[in-house]
Amino acid sequence: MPNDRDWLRAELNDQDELAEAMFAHLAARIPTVQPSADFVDRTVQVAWRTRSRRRIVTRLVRIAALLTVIATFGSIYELRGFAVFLVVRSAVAVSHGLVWLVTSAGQGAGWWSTAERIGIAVSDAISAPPTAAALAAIEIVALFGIYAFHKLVRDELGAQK
Amino acid sequence: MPVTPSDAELVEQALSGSQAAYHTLVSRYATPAVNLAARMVQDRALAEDLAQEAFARAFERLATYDRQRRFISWFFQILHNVTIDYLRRNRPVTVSLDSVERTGDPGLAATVQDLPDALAEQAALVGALDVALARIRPEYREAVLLRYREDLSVQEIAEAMNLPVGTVKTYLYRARRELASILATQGWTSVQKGKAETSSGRTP
Repeated sequence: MPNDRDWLRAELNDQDELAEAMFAHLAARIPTVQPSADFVDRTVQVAWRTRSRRRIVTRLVRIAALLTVIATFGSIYELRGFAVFLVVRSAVAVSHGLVWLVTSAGQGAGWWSTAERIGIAVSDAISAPPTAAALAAIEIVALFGIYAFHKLVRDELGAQK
Repeated sequence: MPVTPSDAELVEQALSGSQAAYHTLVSRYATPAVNLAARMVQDRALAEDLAQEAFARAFERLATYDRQRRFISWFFQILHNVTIDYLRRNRPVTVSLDSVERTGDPGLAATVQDLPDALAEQAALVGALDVALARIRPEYREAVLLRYREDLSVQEIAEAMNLPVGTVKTYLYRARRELASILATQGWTSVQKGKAETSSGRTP
């Protein structure tokens, strides 16, 4: 029978194979934690109960799935007239919508074209040199007019005081 | 002389609805299962709950059991998953060095006192190893128990713990080194002088 301390010596001296053999010998004698007397009976009962419960649940799920399929097909059969009506109305609404969209787009394009033409005409007129000079002269005259009017009003108010 | 049915035969019978067959299967592996779980969680009642859950899960998946594989190896994989799930949800259980040194193993000490010196020393060392086992990492502990208590091969341990074979070998090596180190700090490498010292589970 080997001395148990040989394991520790072998381990500390890095004799791996010997250490493992000695350790296996020692570890085999570590006491075992025993289950309680009724452990096996309880465990088997729990496992059986769990399986029975699972079987019931599985059957219920299958029945529910079957009922769902039947109800779905039944509904489709019963509501087939309404479904056809719904499809036709949808197709009509979609086609009308498309016509309205195309018309609106055309009108929008027309308005945009008109606005563009007006804008170009105005900008051309403003950017022409004689027109620009005339506008500048009018602006200067107008500014003088405003200044003169402002001075007259001020003088008038001072005389009243 | 009655022939003992193999695990694969018992599994077949259990799948056919034989409660007695499953009862035999559970009684065959109840002790290793509870022992491993108890070493992992350090609580026998909890270990029984975990082992029971593992047996219930094994029963649910019995149809997936590969007959070419050893039942114990397949079952320990399920038990490992159940135990690891528990340990992940809760803090890993370890025993402090102080409590180990203070308490030792009173049950063992009482037995040791009645033994001759050599046997008493060996029993005390086994007791000290038992206590030290609770102090190493849970994965090291599990590898040690599966290898040296349940006699699983490294390959089977790797499958049970979902680890590469090389990692299992490393775990086993490091576990032994850690256990040796713990016992060395308790004075187990020096020559013991008396029976009274051995019965306390350590030498000065």
